[in-house]
Amino acid sequence: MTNENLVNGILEIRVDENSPLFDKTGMLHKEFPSDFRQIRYFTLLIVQSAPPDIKEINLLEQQISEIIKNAVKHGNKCDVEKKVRVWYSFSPEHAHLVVEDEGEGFRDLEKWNEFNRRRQSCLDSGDYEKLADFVSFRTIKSDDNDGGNALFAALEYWNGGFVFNQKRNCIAMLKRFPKRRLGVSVEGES
Amino acid sequence: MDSVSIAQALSGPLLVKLVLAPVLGAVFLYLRRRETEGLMTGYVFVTLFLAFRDILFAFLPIPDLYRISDLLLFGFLCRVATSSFSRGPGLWAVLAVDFFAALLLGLKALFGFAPGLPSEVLRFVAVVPVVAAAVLPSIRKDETETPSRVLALGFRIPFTVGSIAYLVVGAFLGADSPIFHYAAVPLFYGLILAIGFVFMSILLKELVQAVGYYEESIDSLYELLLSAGTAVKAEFSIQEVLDSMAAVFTEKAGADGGAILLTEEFEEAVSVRAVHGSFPPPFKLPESLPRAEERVVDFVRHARFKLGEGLLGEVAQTGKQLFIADAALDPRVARNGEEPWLRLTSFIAAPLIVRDRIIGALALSKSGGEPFDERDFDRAKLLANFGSIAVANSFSFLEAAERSDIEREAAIAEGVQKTIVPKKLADLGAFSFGVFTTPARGVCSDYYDVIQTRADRAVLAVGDVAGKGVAAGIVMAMIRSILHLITNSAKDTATLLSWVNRGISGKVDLDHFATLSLVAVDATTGEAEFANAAHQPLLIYRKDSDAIETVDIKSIPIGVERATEYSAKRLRIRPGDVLVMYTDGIVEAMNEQGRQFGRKNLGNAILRSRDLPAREIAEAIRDDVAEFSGRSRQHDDQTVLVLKAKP
Repeated sequence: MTNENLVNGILEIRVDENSPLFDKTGMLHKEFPSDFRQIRYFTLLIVQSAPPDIKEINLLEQQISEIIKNAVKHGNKCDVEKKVRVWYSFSPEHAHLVVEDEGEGFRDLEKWNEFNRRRQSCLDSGDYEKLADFVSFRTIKSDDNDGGNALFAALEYWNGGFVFNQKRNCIAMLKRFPKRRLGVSVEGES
Repeated sequence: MDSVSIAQALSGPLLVKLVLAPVLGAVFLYLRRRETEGLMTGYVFVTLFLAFRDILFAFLPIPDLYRISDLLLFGFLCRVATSSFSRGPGLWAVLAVDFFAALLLGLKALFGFAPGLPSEVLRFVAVVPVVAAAVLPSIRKDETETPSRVLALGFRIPFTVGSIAYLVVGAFLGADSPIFHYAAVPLFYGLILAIGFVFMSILLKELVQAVGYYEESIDSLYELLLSAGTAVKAEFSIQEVLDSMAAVFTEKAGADGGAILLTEEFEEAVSVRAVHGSFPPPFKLPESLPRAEERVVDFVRHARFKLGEGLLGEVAQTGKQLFIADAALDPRVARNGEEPWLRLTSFIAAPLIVRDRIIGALALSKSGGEPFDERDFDRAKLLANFGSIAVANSFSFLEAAERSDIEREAAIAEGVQKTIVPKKLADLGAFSFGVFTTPARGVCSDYYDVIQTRADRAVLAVGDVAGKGVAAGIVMAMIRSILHLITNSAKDTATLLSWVNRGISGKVDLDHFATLSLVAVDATTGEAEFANAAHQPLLIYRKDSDAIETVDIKSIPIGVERATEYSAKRLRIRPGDVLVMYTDGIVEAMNEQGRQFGRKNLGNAILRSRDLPAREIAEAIRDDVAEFSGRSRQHDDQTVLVLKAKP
């Protein structure tokens, strides 16, 4: 299954206000105060509408939790007066989320992409000594609880796209679940 | 020709011939319908030719006519007898010689051409096609034994001897000799008849063999289905089914080893899923893999090929069978080493196909002894066909079982919810209650209760557990137990909530979050107290102002933090007021345009039904939500609890 976040073979966070992933038609909606303690609870409320056929529900839960955590912590700076808005829709084939916070937007987006490009080139060239500098993405605002790797995992996971709006305070993402199939069609008859 | 000569002709040898010819014709016509190669059609024409020339000769008894017809007859017979072989130009040379002799004889009889050449010598040229019929047929290596080929090869000596005897006797006696026509010609008819009977016995023998083969096949299919079927027990495992099927495949196809490969669910690949017996890999093993039997067996067991890659990947992609009788001579078979357990002598692979979809492949191997033959190949194909169905059925069964697990869990959760909520709502005299709850399939996380503490007092509870199914049901049961235990105390609702929170937080290794709102009411005084743990705001229809009042307290849900302190608000309920508690499934219910029902619509629904009794207000709200949602799917439980103060 292809990953829409690959640009020239490298995972990249994109900014595209007009991405169709921002179309919220028919999506369920909830909004939460930016209370860090309740992230797990908010995640559960969202995931509970996922159909039971989705096989790796725990992974989905974990990924959604990371996104909400980012919005609460880095977006709204845990200000309970600020809201996190989530639009979501699930089916056995997909998970689609739009998460919006009231923060100033992800300023370090380009830095992150650059960081990732350099990391990848270290990997490609086998320069493991230099790779040590690119283990985790950190900014001045990062604290000890920020692993700096959540975005790598997110770009891998949300294979249908992971896109910010122009203001970078709203992110849309799509996961396509592989379709289970029995057998392949006889050649020439597909 | 007058009637006397007809009678004379009939009383001669013609009668015998006319009796024999139909018998011959009948035999060949009968056999013609039981074979597919068209050989018997040729013999039907031979019979017609015989009958025609004998009738003609009876009325035109010219010896040369009979001689010419013999030349033509044997030429024709040679062509028919060898028709199932590729004969090349040899046949045409033979026929040319034969027909040239016939032509010479004709010219000689009509125009006295070459009077010195004895007619009997020319007739004897017919020996050429007779010998050719015995010499020309031979089966090439790649040709199969068909009944007509078996006949031609098996009957060539009697045919040659009989035909030459006929020609010799004819030459001695002369074509006009009555003895020749009374004895030799009918005997020759008998020879042709014998061809029919020999052919019949060949067909019969083949039939008996086929019956035996099919009996064996049925027996092996029975074993196969039995092996697939008995593995379907309480503890169902695809692996067990595949293992026992691999064993049956191997045994019934007479192989030394066998493997079942299945295409993968998500990838364009096929992987080995079961191996039985000694199965030397036909594909190249990595150089780095030690040639130790255990390591190789383990490698083969987990081998995986992209579709189209290698021998087995190709079978899984193209759906074409593979039959390699002598693996040593085939360049497609990899040579991995000299060890006896790596020695592959003969190999068969057949795709497993169900409804035009290739679900995998069956591979069979021989490590010595007799190589696989055509019959083994046929058997393997048959087993693969039936095996495919058994494998597909197993997967369907597994899928159905998974589905039924999901369904069962949903049913259990629904059962838990049903037992937890009150069967009958209390009646406090001045206050009446109405309720409805519509669980969404598989969710079942809404909770409501009316706990009567005294004749005129009750605690109303509406909550929503985060999560769904049985896990949510357990949390719901815990909340209910704690609530029922503590509502009899004199504590205010805020304390009750704090206690519930403390009882739930961090106790069990389970997600245990819930919103919960409590309203304690006194029907005598009209006093009420509202406490909220992140649940939806309370809506109150006030008769005085004929408007909806929204009461909310900001707080966090049950189960987030053990030390959470909740607060309460005091309210007064006057006659005609309507108090409505509800879950988010109501306000977040979506219509087909993707819009949410919202609190405003809920308020309007209350306003419209304010004069109805509590039970009917609840029903009116339910109908409103249902109408709003239309045909869009209900994604969350919907619950409404209504209290109405009698006016």
